[in-house]
Amino acid sequence: MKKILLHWILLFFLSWGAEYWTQWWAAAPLVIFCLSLLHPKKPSFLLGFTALFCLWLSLGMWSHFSTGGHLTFRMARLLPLGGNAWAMLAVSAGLGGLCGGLAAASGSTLRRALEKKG
Amino acid sequence: MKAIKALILCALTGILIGILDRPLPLRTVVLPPLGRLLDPVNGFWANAESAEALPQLKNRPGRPYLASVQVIYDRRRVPHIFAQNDPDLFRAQGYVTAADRLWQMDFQTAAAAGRLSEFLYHIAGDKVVEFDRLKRRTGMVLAAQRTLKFFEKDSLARKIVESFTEGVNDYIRQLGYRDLPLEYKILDYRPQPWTPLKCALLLKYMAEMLTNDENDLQLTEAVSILGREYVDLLFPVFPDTLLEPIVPTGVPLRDCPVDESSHTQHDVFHVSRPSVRPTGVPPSQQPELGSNNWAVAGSRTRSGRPILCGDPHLSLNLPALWYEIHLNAPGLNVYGVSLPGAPGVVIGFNDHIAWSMTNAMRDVRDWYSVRYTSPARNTIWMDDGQEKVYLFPDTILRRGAPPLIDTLRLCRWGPVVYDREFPHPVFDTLALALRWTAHYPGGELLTVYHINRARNLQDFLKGLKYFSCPAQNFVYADKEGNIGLFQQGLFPAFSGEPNRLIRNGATKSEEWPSWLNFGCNPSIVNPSWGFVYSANQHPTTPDYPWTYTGDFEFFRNHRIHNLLQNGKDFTPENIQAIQLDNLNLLARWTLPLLMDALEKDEAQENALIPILKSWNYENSADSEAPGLFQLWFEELEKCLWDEVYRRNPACLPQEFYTLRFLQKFKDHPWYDVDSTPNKKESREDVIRMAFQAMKKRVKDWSEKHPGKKPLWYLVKNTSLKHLLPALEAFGISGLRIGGGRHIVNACGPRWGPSWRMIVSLEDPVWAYGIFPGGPSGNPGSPWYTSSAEDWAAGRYYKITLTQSPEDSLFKGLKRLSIQ
Repeated sequence: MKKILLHWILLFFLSWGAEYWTQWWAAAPLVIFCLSLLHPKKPSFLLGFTALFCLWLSLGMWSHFSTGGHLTFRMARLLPLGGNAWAMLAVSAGLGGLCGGLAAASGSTLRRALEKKG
Repeated sequence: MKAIKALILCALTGILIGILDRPLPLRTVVLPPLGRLLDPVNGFWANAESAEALPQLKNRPGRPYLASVQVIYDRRRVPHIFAQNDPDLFRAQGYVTAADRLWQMDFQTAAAAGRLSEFLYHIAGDKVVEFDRLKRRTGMVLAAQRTLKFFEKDSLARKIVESFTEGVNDYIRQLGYRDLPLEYKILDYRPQPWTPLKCALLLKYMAEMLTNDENDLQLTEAVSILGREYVDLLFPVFPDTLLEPIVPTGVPLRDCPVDESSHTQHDVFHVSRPSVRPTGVPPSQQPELGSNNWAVAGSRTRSGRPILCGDPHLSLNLPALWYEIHLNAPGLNVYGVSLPGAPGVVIGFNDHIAWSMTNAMRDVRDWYSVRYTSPARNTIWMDDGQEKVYLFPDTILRRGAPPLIDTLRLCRWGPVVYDREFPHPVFDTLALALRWTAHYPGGELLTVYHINRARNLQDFLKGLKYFSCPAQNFVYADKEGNIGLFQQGLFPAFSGEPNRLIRNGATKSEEWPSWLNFGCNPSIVNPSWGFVYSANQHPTTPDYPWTYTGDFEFFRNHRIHNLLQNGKDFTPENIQAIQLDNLNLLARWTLPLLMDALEKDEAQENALIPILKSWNYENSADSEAPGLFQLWFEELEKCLWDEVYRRNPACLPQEFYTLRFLQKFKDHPWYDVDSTPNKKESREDVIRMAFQAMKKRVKDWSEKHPGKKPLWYLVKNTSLKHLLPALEAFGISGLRIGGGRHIVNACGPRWGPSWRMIVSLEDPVWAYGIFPGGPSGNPGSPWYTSSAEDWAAGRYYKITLTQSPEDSLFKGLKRLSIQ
């Protein structure tokens, strides 16, 4: 359990760094790579999903609350989510989570496939 | 098995990322690249700013850049730029403006150049291509190129424009995806480098906005419907009453040599553009760009020094049209508003003088019907022979589709805007060429440069002479106590019967005369009565030696004149009431006539009547009567001019002439309504029909807005809309503001006082100012709409002209330099 938590934290911060220094999708190959190294026992969709979901949600919330939320509101009207800031946060975190989850599942499955062959 | 599963999962991840990394076309909309846009690290969240955040003035980290320039953002986040020399100043202005308004600058100039398809075609389709073609065929680019050549020849103009351009590009160069303005992220494209041509395009963008209302095509259409009498009666050159021109009779022309009233013959150059307003828009809803300005002499002010006021009424958009700025360099200390994309301050004041502008409204465009001699369309008939038409291939790049090749045709008169390849919606069988003063090079930037530095009237007039299009009425006041009003622009020296219709393009006798000498333009300085004013009205009385036509104002100028004439002891505070004056003169003069026409029983029964009867003719935000009157009058115009309205609402006469018609004629064949073949309507019938139609519109409105009263501000719905209609979510609507069309507080649904300024020419000079919107063009910044509510409420911000970055007003504020 402790290990998984450690992996989760690792994913969270490494993805943040990858996105910060390159671009948004860089987190995905990074997660694939990490997961293929970490080798958790089960396919790790949830691990990747929650890490990226929380990363995107917390950064989104930080942006939202530290700036008065004008932009969240405007974007939520544009997309259109009826101007609901929480919907905007959820949609955006969901997308991040989905990418993270798929990448994590890819990484762990890949590792097990490689191990089996090796 | 595991390997296949792993591969499938990897592929799925890749596909998902691929989908989220590019625009996604759905059935009716195109979604922006969602992954990139919603990413909290680099996407739209990165554009969210707190009120404390200042633009980052970083360029090439570690290298000194514009070290001598200091930029201070004050408590309203207006930038104050202090530089040691002109090039640094304009470089910094370019940089700082781009930091707040890059997307707007880029978009407006792309629109002027007809290049929107390059990044909008995948969303907007053929509509945007038609828009682009019209701009190109109107000759916007050719016109800008001519002005650019002028910049290049003049060393001062070149220096200004090049420095400004460098500054903008220095900003663009350091932008990563994360720093891009939000609109680029949503539309998924990147800014291209700024160029001096874009500065010229911006000037043409303004010229087009302010001079494309010449009506010649609409009048030609109207004549074909109701005959020549319609134009003669309802579009007279001068009114039969209530002519209150900028320059009254008896004021001599400033500097008009009798024998040389005109200067150099213009060379034969051509390019052009049309103005077809969308049909179906109620007449009074159509935009009415205009402006007010006036100056009162010290004899009428409490301080004994002049006060100058100005408020240009332009399109209300976000990001705001104007960018407030303070520029300081040796020999220069000027404050006011700039156009994002042009160096200098366009309307403002310095330590010595103040100035503002209103649009001259004079017709400076003519349409020529040309006939091609052959299907190749490279020659036209001209008198007894043929004349060459110059062909230019023109490529329109379309995003996500192959480029479209068009051909621009340039003839003696100008560009052929409409022909069978691009037919005019009404005159679809004609080839129409446009001649327009904006096609000639203009030195508007030099005017701005010199006026910004002017210390007295001589300096001011020296700068004024470069200004050619769009022609403006410049109001002026200085600390020495002078006031003046100068109409300035490039005008052909027309005489005799003015032309109102499409011209015959097959004869050289239709050639424009030579240009009018600038000294012969109407002007007035220090009149004995102590004030000068303009509100887009006629510049002169009919005894002016040259002829002109235009879409002139009758109500605002009358009201301003009365208020100034009856007022004395003006202060910068009590004069605000004039800028904010809501009296509806059209209603005051029309409503009694309308009420008389109602039959007694109707007048007694209807609940709307008491509201109108008790009205004081003030278009206040919270009153119901202005909306009722407005709708009634609109419906009246529709009933009365039904023949014309059905074909093209833009062919309707001005409200003033409709009012004159109602006053003059109790019976007239034009009162007859086409849709009732068995009845011949009188004036009273038409008014009653309009009343019924108004009642229905009020009812419809109330059904659409349950529980709400039709208060004026709700009916009018003044909105600040984002420049791009697709980004409607970034606008604000329903501002609680009164006023309206033909009212001094000229705030309509989509246009209004875009920069209210009041300058007191005391020592030191100080001012009040406000514009709708805010300094930042970023929808993620609280400064995007920071002044909208104060503006709507009629509040002003006090402006002090500081002399140095060490001024006590800047205490506690950060001094930034562009590093």
